[in-house]
Amino acid sequence: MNSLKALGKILLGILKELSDEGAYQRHLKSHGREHSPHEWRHFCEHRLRIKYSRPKCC
Amino acid sequence: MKRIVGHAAWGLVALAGAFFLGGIATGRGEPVNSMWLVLAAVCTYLVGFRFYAKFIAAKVMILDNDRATPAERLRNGIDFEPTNKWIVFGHHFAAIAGPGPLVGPTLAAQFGYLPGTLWIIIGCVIGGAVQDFVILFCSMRRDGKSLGAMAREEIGKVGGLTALLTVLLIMIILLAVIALVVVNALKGSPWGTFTIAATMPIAIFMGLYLRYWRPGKVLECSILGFLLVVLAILGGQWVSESQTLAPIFTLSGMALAVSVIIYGFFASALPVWLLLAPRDYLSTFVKLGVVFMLAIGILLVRPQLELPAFTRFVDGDGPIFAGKIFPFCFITIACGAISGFHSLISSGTTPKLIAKEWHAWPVGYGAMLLEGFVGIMAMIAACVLQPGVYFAVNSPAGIVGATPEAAVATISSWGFPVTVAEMQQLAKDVGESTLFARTGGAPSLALGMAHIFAQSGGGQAILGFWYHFAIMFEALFILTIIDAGTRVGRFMLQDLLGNVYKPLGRTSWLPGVIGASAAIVLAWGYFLVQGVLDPLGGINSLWPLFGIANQLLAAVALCVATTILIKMHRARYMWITCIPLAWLVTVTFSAAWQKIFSPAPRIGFLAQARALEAALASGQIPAAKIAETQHRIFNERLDAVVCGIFLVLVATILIDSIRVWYGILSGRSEARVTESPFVLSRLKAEEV
Repeated sequence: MNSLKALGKILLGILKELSDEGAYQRHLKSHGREHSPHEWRHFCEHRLRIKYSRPKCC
Repeated sequence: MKRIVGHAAWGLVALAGAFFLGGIATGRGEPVNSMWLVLAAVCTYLVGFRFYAKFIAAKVMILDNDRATPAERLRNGIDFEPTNKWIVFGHHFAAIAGPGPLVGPTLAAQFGYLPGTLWIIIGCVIGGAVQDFVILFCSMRRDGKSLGAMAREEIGKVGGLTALLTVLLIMIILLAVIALVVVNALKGSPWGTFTIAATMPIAIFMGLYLRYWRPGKVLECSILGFLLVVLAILGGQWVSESQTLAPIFTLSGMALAVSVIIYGFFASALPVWLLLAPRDYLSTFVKLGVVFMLAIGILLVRPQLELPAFTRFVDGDGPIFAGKIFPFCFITIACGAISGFHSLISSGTTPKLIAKEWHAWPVGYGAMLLEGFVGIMAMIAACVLQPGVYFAVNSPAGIVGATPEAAVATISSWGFPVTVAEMQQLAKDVGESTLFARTGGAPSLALGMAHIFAQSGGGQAILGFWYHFAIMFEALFILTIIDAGTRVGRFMLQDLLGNVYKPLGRTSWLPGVIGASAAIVLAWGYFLVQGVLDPLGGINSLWPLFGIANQLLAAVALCVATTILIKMHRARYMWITCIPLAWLVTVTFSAAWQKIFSPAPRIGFLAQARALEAALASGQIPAAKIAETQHRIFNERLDAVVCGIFLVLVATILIDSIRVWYGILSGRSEARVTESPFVLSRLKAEEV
């Protein structure tokens, strides 16, 4: 049961990382801010600018 | 005791790997079950991971968990963040998995299942995974620096600039060839075209949803997007059966090419949050889900391989692309065994997330093994088709004949029987008007995948759904690569042009943005149109060009890796990067040489140009085709020049690297290590 829980946690972690939700949570935590539409847009601007300045793999 | 049991278990895995490899390598005549390929790959990859990769980690790189990684030292909560190794593994795998390992093995199956399978298994263990692992290590020890920055610092300014130019040129060819794969898959297919067209408003809806309605809810939004895409696939069937709508979505290759070019321009200039990012989220989840589904499907169905171990086309006269196994099988497989592009990912996001140095072992080496496994699954999906069907789908009309009757007669005469009725029934089953000459690899891969999925559940009744689901999956992430690639190409071009006229270098200056976007789109669009107009299907000339370019980028990465190993005083281990480097240089240089200078017109660009010139001079070309033929002659010469430029660029980096290696090894120059200084890691176990 514990192994399944751990697997589920890892899978959710991967999904959160791929969806940038993990990075957003870290951003809120490290800057001590609350979630808001404005904060998400501010985060996205920075995150996506870096993310899409690199080529995607073939 | 535990140690002895461990050794015995690994001995058994190694023996099993040798048995399965031996089985597929020597078995002839009898049908082979796909599980032989799966087990040969799994056992070999496990042994490679446990012994070879661990040797590299422990003896060559001397990974040290006490040394703080950039994720810890430069932690900023966003890019630099110590992350669980399996999460980084998933993230890294999602980033390196592209269309290459799916399409390359599908095309290389024209030689039979054996050459490609062996290369995917062996090439991955000694080449691709080593490159990804060593570059990840080098970047991790240099604060997550990019390959270009490392080339500049370790080899010199010439190496750095050449690496930048190489990447830009490779991207242009890459974007053209993957766009051609999509165009050929959607040509004359109202179902497929509608589904893919529908993904654009779906992505825009997702973009607006995330920005204004439910900010930050990416997973929720992606589930919604996926449901809408499934609805679009079902709607596509209705459109294809509608007498009013079907003609609107039935487009020629040229119309699709122009649409993709216009789309590429706007998508790269639009704000990323509106179209690119939401579709990227969706395509990443769909990609991982489909790869997982395919693995489950293969395990459930355990299909027989219908293609033989070797086909008659090992002689170099293949209909899909011309050229012998050496070197063309290796450059066609490309990313399934070793991919230069992975070095950009291994020196991009991943090194900034690694919490402990030893995590680079499963992430860098292990993720590439998984990618190799994706290549094996693509090979299986292609080989479960009847050989006659496989060649009817993948062979261009210019080779097998323009009518179905001519095509089946030619293919059957090769010893791969197929009938018009069989092809018509298959086309009807998947909801297409025809499956003849659907070159590019995507349709035959989709057919193989649909076959496996349908056998796993649902049967023939839903073959059409699965076929279009597979086409949607391939097109979705190819289009994401096209707009992301055009955007990056634009940045690179602006970076270069900024040296000539400063405002051009500003990525926010509108004339610069429009001009550079247009230049990049026109560059890859030109090669795309060339591929669409090519009577040999375009893949014959463009895929080898892409394969050569991709493998040359891997050679650049291995030059950088070798230079760093020598500077770290590990010259006695430089063979781990020099063996794949020597192989890549041999393969790519001989492939490029043949593509330029081979006297066979289907292989050599210049020979093809001469053959067309001779046909023009002798009056064999009808008046209506003269202008087109002159254009083709120009294109063949252009392809030869592009191929030559690749060779010159990589030869420059190689010579520059050898100069640096010789200087250090002979004691004439100092081996200056540019690693970040050692800082003791203070990460606690629960933090990773």
